[in-house]
Order: sequence, then C-alpha cells, then structure tokens
Amino acid sequence: MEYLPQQLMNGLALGSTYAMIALGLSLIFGVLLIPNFAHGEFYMLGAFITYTLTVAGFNFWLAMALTAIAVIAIGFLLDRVAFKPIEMAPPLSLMISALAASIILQQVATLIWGTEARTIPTPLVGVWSAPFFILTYMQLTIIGVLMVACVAIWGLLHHTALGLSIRATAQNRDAAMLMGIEMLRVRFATFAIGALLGAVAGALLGATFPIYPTMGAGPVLKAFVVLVLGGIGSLKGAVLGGLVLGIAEVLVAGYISSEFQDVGAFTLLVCVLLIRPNGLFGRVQMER
Amino acid sequence: MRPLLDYFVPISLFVIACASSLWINDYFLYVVTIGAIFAVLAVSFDLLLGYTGYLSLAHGALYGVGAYCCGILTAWHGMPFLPAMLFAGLFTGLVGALIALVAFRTKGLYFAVLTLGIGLIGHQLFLIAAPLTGGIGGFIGIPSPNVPAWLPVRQVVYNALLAFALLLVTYLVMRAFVRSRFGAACLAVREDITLAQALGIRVGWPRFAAFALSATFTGMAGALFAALSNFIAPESFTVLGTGFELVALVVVGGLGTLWGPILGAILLTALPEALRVAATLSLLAYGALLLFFIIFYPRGIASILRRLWSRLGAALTGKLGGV
Repeated sequence: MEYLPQQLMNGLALGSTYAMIALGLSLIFGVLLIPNFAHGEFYMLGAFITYTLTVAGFNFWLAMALTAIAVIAIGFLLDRVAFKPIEMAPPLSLMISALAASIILQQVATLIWGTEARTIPTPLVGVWSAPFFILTYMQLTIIGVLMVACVAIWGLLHHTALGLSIRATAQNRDAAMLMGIEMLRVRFATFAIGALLGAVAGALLGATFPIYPTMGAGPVLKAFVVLVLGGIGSLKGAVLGGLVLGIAEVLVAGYISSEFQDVGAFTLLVCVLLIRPNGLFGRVQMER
Repeated sequence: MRPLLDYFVPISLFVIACASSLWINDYFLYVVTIGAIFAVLAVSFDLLLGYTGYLSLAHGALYGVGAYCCGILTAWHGMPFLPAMLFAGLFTGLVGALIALVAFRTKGLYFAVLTLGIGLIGHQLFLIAAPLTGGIGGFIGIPSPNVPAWLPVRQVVYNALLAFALLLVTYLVMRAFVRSRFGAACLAVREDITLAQALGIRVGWPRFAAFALSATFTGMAGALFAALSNFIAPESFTVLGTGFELVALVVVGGLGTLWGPILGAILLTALPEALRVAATLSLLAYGALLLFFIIFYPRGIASILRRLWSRLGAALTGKLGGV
C-alpha cells in the first residue's frame, strides 16, 4: 500500500482528461439533447492536428491553440451536417447520425495519418516531487487545465448573458425560443465549448501517450459511463465522475490486473444502470 | 391467394439463389455467402431496432458468442456442424435473454450506452479468456461443415447453400414473429411505450422475446461464419466494427421491414468486396451512406422502392383509367 498516494495522483491526472471530455459531452447532451458519439473524435483530432503542427515546427502551446480553433470549426461543421438537419427527428436518429459521424471522422483521420501510433514530443519535461508521490509537469498541467476549465465554464454559464441563454435552453428549449433566445448562437457556443475541451484534452494526453485514429473511441465511451454515473446534464457530476473513474481504473490496473482496467469501468457502468436505470444522481430521464 | 404468394416469393428466390450458386465462380460465391450471413444478422438486428425501437450495440459481441461456441463444439468436441449451430444459437439466445433482463430496465440513450458497455466487455472477454478463445491470436482449426454424402456439391457451394437456407429460415421465422401478437406489441412499444402500457398491452414479454430471438439468430449466423472461415479472432466482433456495420445495413436497407435489411446487407457487403475497395474506404463509405440515409431517407432503400412501386402503380392505373 506504500504507493497508494502515487496511484491516486496518477488516477487524478487520467481522470482529469475523462472529466474534460465528459464535461463537453454532458454540456452538448444537456443543452441540445444530442448524444454525441463523435465527441471522441474531437479529442482524436485535437491530438493529431497538434501533432502535425508540432512536427511542422510550431511551438507546442501555439500549436494547441491553433488546433483548438480548427477543432471548433470542425465541431460547427459537424453540427451543421449531421445534427441540425434532423433537429426534430426522434432521438434514435440523432444517435445513429452521431455514430455515422464518428466513423466518418475516424476513417478520414486514418486516410490522412495512417494507423500507426505516434507521439507528440513532450513540451515539458521534469517532475515535481512531493513527500509521498511524484507528478510529471505534464500531469500537473492536465490537472491545472481541468481546474481552469471548470472555473471558466462556471463563470461563463452563471455570469454572462450567453450562459444564461444556454442554461435556459437546457431547461426548456421551446420556452427559451419563445423568449427570443437565438438558438443558433446557443448551438454554436455549446459545440464550441465541447470541441475546445475535447481538443485540449487530446493535445495534452497526446504529449504523454501514443496517438492513433481510433483513440477517441475508448475515452468517449468512458465519458458516457461518467455521464451516466454523474447524472446526465450535471456538470458537477461529469467532473466528479471523471475523476472517480480515472482513480478507479488506475487502482484496478495497479492492484488487480491491467487487463481488467477497461472491463472494470464498463462493469461499473452495467452495475450502476442495473441498480439505478437513470444513473446515480439521475433525475427523471430527459425525453423530447 | 396472399398466403400462397407470401411463401412463393421468398422460396423461389431461395431456389434461384441455390441454383445459381452452382454456376458462379468460387470467389464470388464466397462474397455472396458472407453477404447472406450479414443478411441474417441484419434481419435479426432489425427485429430489435426497426420493430421494437431499441438500439443495441451488444450484437457484435453476441455474434462472437455464437462463433466461439460453434468453434469450441466442433473443433474440440467433434460435434457435427448442424447441431453445433443450433446449440450455439440457443446458447447465444440464452446470453441475449440475460442481457435483455438487464438492459430493458433502461431505455433510449441509456439502453444504447448500456448495451455498448456490454458489447465492449464481451470483446474484452474474448481477448482475456485466452484458454477458451485463443485470445488475440484467434481460434484456429474450426472444421468446415461436412457435405452430406447424398449431395454431390463442392464445399464452397455447400457453404453457400447453408447460408441461403439459414437466411430463408430467419426470414420466415422473423416474419411469423412480426405478424404475431408479440410483433404487434413490439410495434406499440416502438411507437409509444407509455400509451401501449396505458392501453393494457404487456410490453415486457414481447420486447424480451424480440431480443432473445434476435440474439438466437445472431448466434447462428456467428456459428456459420466461424465454420466457413475456419478461423475467428476478436477483431471480427467489435462494437465499432460489426456492431456498427449492422446499424448501417439496417438503416440503409430500410428500418422496420424485413426485406429491406436483406437488400442493405447484400448491397453493402457484396459491393465493396466485388469492387475490391480497401477496408478503410469501405468503412468510410458505410459511414457516409448511413449519414446520408438517416438524414434524407430515414426509412432506407425500402422506402424509395416502395414509393417508386406505388408511383408505377398509379401511372399504370391512370393510363388504364384514361382508356
């Protein structure tokens, strides 16, 4: 048990990336009722575009900023092509459309970058040694970025006019439209925040782990697990759920077997849904 | 008249398919056989997605359960293929029934996410349970179905005949189910589950039966796939591979019809093979087609054909009326 604090910190860093993806996913689902299976592709594209720019000689942080802009544009395009035209269709169509979009983005990335795994050169080397654990500067950055993102999103949602209209849409879309809230702006802002979070998470994780075109599938599925754990549409739940899942995974890998890391996460999902079909903190299920 | 026609069309198509399998070359025959297996999968999947309205992403893993079950029975215990296929189907049906017990506690997105989780666990288990499944290296040495002595055909032709026969049986069984009380109840579940319950329709059993039946035939398709490829590996049974392809086949072919998915399966599996496109491109094409159809023709090719058919009918009667 000596290295428990170390495991916890590693779990916290891993969980931070899950939390960032889950935060975006939860926002898009909570506000627009779109189960965005293609969200993992924001993450994948974030990693690959950053990779391409860094290889082309850009500074990592500049590359990440440019990537974020590019992925936001892709997110906007995705919404326009795959979701906006069937806004009024049943939820099943939106789900299928999201699945299709996810496969398309994955395969396009495979065509561009090939299937071999790559790594982004790490911009920060070195570690920070505390009494009971060691964190790399990269892990620290990831945890820090999640904190900043949480504060920024909270500020945006609760202290700006845009945030007010986003929250109003999440509560009741029809009423919000009747109140004269511009739906296009809300859609764009929601997708932009989601894509931004995904892209940043991808770029940061890509500087620590190998990247490949199907890398988005795992995290987005885990983000759905987090969503279900934390309660759909609850941003607090997304962050907490992400951290808990990350820590649980690292502990399972460390104390049981790394083979069971993923199985553990999904078994947790199945068990939670078995006991509470609407999620741990689930309100009554949202339906149109 | 109608019942006669009902059986006449599928059976005569089956006979034509069998007869033509004697004439076409081996490679093309193999492609058609795989197409028929995917058609079985698509029809079983549509019973759930099209008629009951639940998106299951666990079917890729169920297909694998049938395949591994058949592999273990025939390769290790020397069971002949046909009973092994039946047994694999029943076993997969049982697994499906268990999944259904859990999964139908949820609905909508939760159902999709839950079955997705189950599909992923299944795929991981195929990898982890290496003593049973061969792990990532795959399961080798599954014997081909034995050609009976009274049938003077080659192995490839016999494989194709088996696939066609399974497709015919699947189609007829699913049609019987859809036309039964249970099928009607499933449609009610799809349209409005609350209203159905309010009208006193028992929704529990029909949708449970639909899932179990769908799983049974998915398992049999898996068994046939295992026997005629002689080798299976976990990557054939992934959520985003086979699981996703099924969604594409059914939506492109036509949700909520039984012949649409057959059409979709034949088009989508046979065409890329026949044109020899790379796997990446064919998956990309699946995605693009799926997106196109879900946005512009959510009821698939079947709805387009139906519209053409009725327009043709209207044009003909219009002409006759004019005379």
